[in-house]
Amino acid sequence: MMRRVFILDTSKCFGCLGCVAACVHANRTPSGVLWREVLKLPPEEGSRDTLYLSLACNHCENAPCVRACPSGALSKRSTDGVVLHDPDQCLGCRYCQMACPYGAIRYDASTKVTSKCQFCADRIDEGREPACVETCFGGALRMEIVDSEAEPAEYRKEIPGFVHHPEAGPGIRFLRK
Amino acid sequence: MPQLDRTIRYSVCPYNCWPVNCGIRVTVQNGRVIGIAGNPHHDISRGRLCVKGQCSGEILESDQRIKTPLIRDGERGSGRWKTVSWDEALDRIAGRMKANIDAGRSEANALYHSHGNIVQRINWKILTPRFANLSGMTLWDGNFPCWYDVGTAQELTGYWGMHDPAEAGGHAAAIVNWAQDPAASQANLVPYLLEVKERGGVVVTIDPRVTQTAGLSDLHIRPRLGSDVWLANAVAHILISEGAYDKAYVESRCHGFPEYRKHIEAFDPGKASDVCDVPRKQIEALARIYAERKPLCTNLTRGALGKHRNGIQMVRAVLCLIPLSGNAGKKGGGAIWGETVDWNLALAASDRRPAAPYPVNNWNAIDAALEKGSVDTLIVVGGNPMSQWPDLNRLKAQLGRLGLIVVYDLFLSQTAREAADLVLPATSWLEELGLRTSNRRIYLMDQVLDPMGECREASAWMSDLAKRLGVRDYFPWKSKEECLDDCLRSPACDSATVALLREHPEGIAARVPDVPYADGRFGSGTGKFEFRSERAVELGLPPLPTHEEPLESPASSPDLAKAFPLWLISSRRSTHFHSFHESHRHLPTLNALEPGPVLFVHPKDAAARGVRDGDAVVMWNGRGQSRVRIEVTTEVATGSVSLNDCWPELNRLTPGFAPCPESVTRALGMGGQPAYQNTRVEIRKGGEERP
Repeated sequence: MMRRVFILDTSKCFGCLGCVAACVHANRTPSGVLWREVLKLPPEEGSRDTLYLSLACNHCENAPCVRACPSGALSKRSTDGVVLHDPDQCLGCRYCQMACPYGAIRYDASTKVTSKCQFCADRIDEGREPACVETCFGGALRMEIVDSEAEPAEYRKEIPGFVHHPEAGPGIRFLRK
Repeated sequence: MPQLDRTIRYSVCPYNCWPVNCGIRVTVQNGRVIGIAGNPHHDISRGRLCVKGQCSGEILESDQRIKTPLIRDGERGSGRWKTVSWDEALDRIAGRMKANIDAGRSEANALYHSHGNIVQRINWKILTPRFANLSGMTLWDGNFPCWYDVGTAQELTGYWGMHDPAEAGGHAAAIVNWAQDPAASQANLVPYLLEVKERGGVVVTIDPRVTQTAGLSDLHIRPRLGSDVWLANAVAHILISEGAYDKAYVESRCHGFPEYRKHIEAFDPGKASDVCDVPRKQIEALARIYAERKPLCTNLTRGALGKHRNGIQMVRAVLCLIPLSGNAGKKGGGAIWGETVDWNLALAASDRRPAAPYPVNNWNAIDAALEKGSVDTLIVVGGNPMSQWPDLNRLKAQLGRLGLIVVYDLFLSQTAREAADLVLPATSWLEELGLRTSNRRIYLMDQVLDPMGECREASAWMSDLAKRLGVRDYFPWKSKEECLDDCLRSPACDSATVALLREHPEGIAARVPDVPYADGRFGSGTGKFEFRSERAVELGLPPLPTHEEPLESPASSPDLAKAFPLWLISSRRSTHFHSFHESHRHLPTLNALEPGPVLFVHPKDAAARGVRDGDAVVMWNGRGQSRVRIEVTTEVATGSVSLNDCWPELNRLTPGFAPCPESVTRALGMGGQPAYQNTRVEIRKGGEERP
């Protein structure tokens, strides 16, 4: 099956947070609501094992949020597996937040609905990169369409600091030198 | 969808990062800014924009902006304000200033300007100093907390670097980030570091902390705080003893090498390993890089090293490695520095300031003036003394004794909130016409928006205030455009005009050398690079780069160091730019990314005090106490903690001591950085509430 995934080359991510701001401004998220976050794993041995992980919604293959949503606000796009959230259909029940193993869904008390990364669906449908990918200084974050049956061997599904939930099938792969 | 009214305009990011001031591309629709992105035509930033630059648009329509002049309606710091007209505000300021002038105390009127005013380079270099000079005021600026001891070291050697990061990215075989963390503070440098690596070059970081840049580096050396003279001199020791230095260059273009060589003999790498607490093989590896990787570029952009008791000497020691290794005046070598294009600086009218005993722009002089009461009125323009200056509790008492404090800013900064009598509303960078440069090109910062509310640009109200003080020719131009054209009449700016710049979003080339110092002529008295500085001798400073223990270290003050066993290192993350606009607090996205001060503590130091990740702690020393949350991390070494600067929790504890004597500042026009980094503290569990 062909699906759209994020690829994060951790040897090139230096935690600058540019992707977080690009996401906020491209998607006009409510004030202070961040769909993307950058986790930091402090070094154990030396500087070069510091890890920064830029993460948002992983657009899971068997997305728990979609299954948990009672209103149909969350759906999975058949063409490329992008998980979309429609705020107009959202009841604000927050079941999706509880179901998401990655804490990727935000709730905004002012609008009383949840929201999350949409993989910049509007932009990618115009042939552009998602805002986070476009802004990345280090070239650490990429978007790719992969064949889930035949993924390149160097694409890791697990990395320290990121819990792989195989039952969900998160759409993010890591590269690490 | 018809979008006929949508226009693209160009400007430069409002943050004053160094060495790159990134170009921005502004999308305007129906008189509103709907998008800010990088300017792809900018010669160094090339379309990239960091987290702060991307969030700068949140300034424009922020409901926290000051929209009218405000006057205190209660005690200082009460938070109660009422609006006043500009006329009333300026009358009040002029009245107080005139009284000081009439009493023969012209110097009692002081102006401090900093990063918010630097945004418009012309305000910073010309229009604000011009106002202070013509009005006969004491003039202090944000250079002193930022980089002044670094500049002093450059002045003493005669060498200012002046290279730009794009040149390093394109040509350097090695880049050494000496006490610099560009990945956090100037992310736009990182693509150039990666470019060096991709070409097979090496990136070195020298920093006691595991910084974001350290993570990208091939070699990371973590010297004990303040031991950099030993590290640099030990590298010189190896290069000289192995004959791996540029003999021809040193003989023809440098001064005082025999004395330097003799001086360096004492800096044995084995001993340096002990003093710096760095493995000897790392010192040797660094020396190998200096010896073999040519050209080597040093990133010494800004003031971290200057914030030590021994800062001037540390910077000098690092600078000496540049000609020694044959990297001065070489493409891809040298040292990165931000400002290389001069305006028509005569317009600042520094020769027209009436004579008076003005305290110089050196922390010692400022502290003494505040303490003695020789300053009465302080006008703060785009600066934030209560966030930028050291020893906050002492400073608070000093500011409390002033007769009038005026703050001109976008937001109610800490100084405005806690100390000001009058607050004046500032225009944002897109609400006035201005200029900025990269190392090689000049860029227009076009006016894109009408000023918000009653906000006025600095030169407009300064003109009205100058008139009230009897100064008629502060702003002799018919328009701001004419003014800027006059500011552009300098050899470096060549034929640039505002009209021409407006047609060139890619900027106009300034007349600057292709490779700085390629002619081997330096800015010292001898015209050579001075290993032994004759100017230093005249000024009573050490002739050669010598080591001195930091303030409050176990060696220099054992009892104090025992009572306060932790070094407090001030650091920088991506989300804020020290005092500037306090934007990390006023802008929602930056605030969400760094909502409060976090103290980084090593696991061993945390365990020894029974504190855990996320705990609230009290941090204190003899100058004050702060309450902060901790993050337990091996990013800091044992025996040191670190806190991002700009939080008041930092400067409550920093020492109000600047190692550079006032006499040096009077002679060189720089020097006087407080030794912020030489702070000892202790922490204990407790303090749930922030005061």
